[in-house]
Amino acid sequence: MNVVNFNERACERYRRYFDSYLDNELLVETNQDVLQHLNSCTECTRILEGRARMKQLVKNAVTAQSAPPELVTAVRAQLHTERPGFFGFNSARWMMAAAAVLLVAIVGIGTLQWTRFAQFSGDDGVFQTVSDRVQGILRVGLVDHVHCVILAQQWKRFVSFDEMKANTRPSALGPEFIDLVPVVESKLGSQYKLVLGHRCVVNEREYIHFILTGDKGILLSLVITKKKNTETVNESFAQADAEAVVRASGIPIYREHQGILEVAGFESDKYLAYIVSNLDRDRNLNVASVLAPLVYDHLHKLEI
Amino acid sequence: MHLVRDRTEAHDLVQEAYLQAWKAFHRFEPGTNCRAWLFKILINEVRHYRRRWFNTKIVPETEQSFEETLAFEPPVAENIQDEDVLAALDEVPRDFREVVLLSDVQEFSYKEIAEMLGIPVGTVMSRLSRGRKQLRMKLATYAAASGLGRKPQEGAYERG
Repeated sequence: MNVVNFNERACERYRRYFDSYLDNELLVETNQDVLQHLNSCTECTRILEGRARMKQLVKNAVTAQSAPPELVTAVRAQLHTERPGFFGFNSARWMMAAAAVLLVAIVGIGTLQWTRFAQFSGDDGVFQTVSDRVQGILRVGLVDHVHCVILAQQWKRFVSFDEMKANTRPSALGPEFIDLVPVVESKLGSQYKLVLGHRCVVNEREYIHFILTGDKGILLSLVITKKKNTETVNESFAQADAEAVVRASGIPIYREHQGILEVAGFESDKYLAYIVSNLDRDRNLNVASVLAPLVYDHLHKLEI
Repeated sequence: MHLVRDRTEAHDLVQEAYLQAWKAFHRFEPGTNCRAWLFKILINEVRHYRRRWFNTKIVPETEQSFEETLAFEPPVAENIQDEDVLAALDEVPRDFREVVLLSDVQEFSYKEIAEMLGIPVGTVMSRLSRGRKQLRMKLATYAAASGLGRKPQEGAYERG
C-alpha cells in the first residue's frame, strides 16, 4: 500500500515557486501563499535560504572579477578609430553613444570569462593613476552623471532658476543648495549653460546634481553627495592611498578617466563633490579647480 | 560571459560586440533599457562565435540530467569559495548558465531575458530552475569532495 504524505506534496508545489519568489517575479497573491507556507514549514524555509544564498554566491563570484585594463583600453582605442553611423562627430548623441557603450564595459564586464585569467599589469594608465579605493569613490559621482545625463538625457530639460526655486517636490534643491545655482553660473560664465539643478536618487543614494551644457556637445555635471562612512566603507579621498593631481586654493582634487568621461573629485568633511564631463583631462580639471573653492565653502557652511 | 572558454577569443569577441553596439547606437530607442539592448548585442556576438567554431551540444529542454531528478535539496556548504562557484558554473550546460548569469548577476527580469534570448518566458523559468538546481548539486559534490560542509546524504538525515 502506498502512503501519500500530503505535506510533502504541498511543499513540492510551493518549492516550484521558490526561484520566481527569489527573483520577485510572482504575482502578489502567489507571493502571499508562499510566505504563508514558509511561516509554517522549517524545511522549506531552509531550502529557500539556501537558494537565496546560492544566488548571492553566484553574483559575488562573477562580479568579483573585473575587466583587465588592456581590454578596456583596446575597446576604447577601437571606438576612437571608428565612428558610429548616422551621427556627426561632435554631436551630444555621439558622446552619449560612447558613454553608454563604455558604461556597460565598466559595469557588465564582470560576467565575461576572460576576466578570470587577468592579472593587472597597470601599464596603460587607465587604472594606474588612482588606487582602487579612490577609483571607487570617484565612481560614486560618475554613476549619477551617467544615470541622469547619459541615460535619462535630463540635459535636454531646461529649468529656469525661478522654476528651481519654486519647486517643492522631492527633486527640489531646497534652501540648502539653491544658492549654488547663481554662484556656479556666474563663476563659469557664458561658456556653460546651467540647464537643471535637482536632487536625484541613484542606487539608493541621494545626490545634488547640477547639469550644464557647453559648445560642441559638452555635457558637464557638478555632483554632490553625502559621504557614507561605516565600518566597512570609508568614503574619504584623504584616507585613500593616492595623491591629488592638483590643488585649488589648497583643496586636493583627484581624477579618473573612464571611456570618454573625465571625473574630478574633491571633498569636505561630510560631502563628496565631483565634476564629470566629456571634456579632456585638463579642461575638466580646470572647471573643477574653478568650482572647488566656492563649492567647498558652501558645503563647509552647511556642516557648521 | 562564462560562455567562451578561450581568453583571446573572448577579448576579440567583446571588442566586436562593443564595436557593433557603437555602430548601431542610432537604432537604440531612448527610453528603453540600454543595458538590455547592449547585452542583447553581446549575446548575439557570442552565438555568432559559437556557430562559427563549435558544434555545441545543446541539452534538450525535455531531457533531465541525473542530478535534476534527485528530490533532495542539499544544504549550501559554509565555506564555498568563488573559484568553486565559477568551476561549478562552467559545468552547467551553456543554455542554462546563460540564463542563470543574466538573472543572478545582471539581475534582468524574466521578460527582459526572454526578449534578449528570443525564447518564451516559460523557457527562461525552466532553464533558470534547472540551471540553479544543477549548480547546487555540483557545489554540493565539490563540498563533499573537499570536506566542506556536510555531504548531501548526511544532510538527508535532518529531514525527518
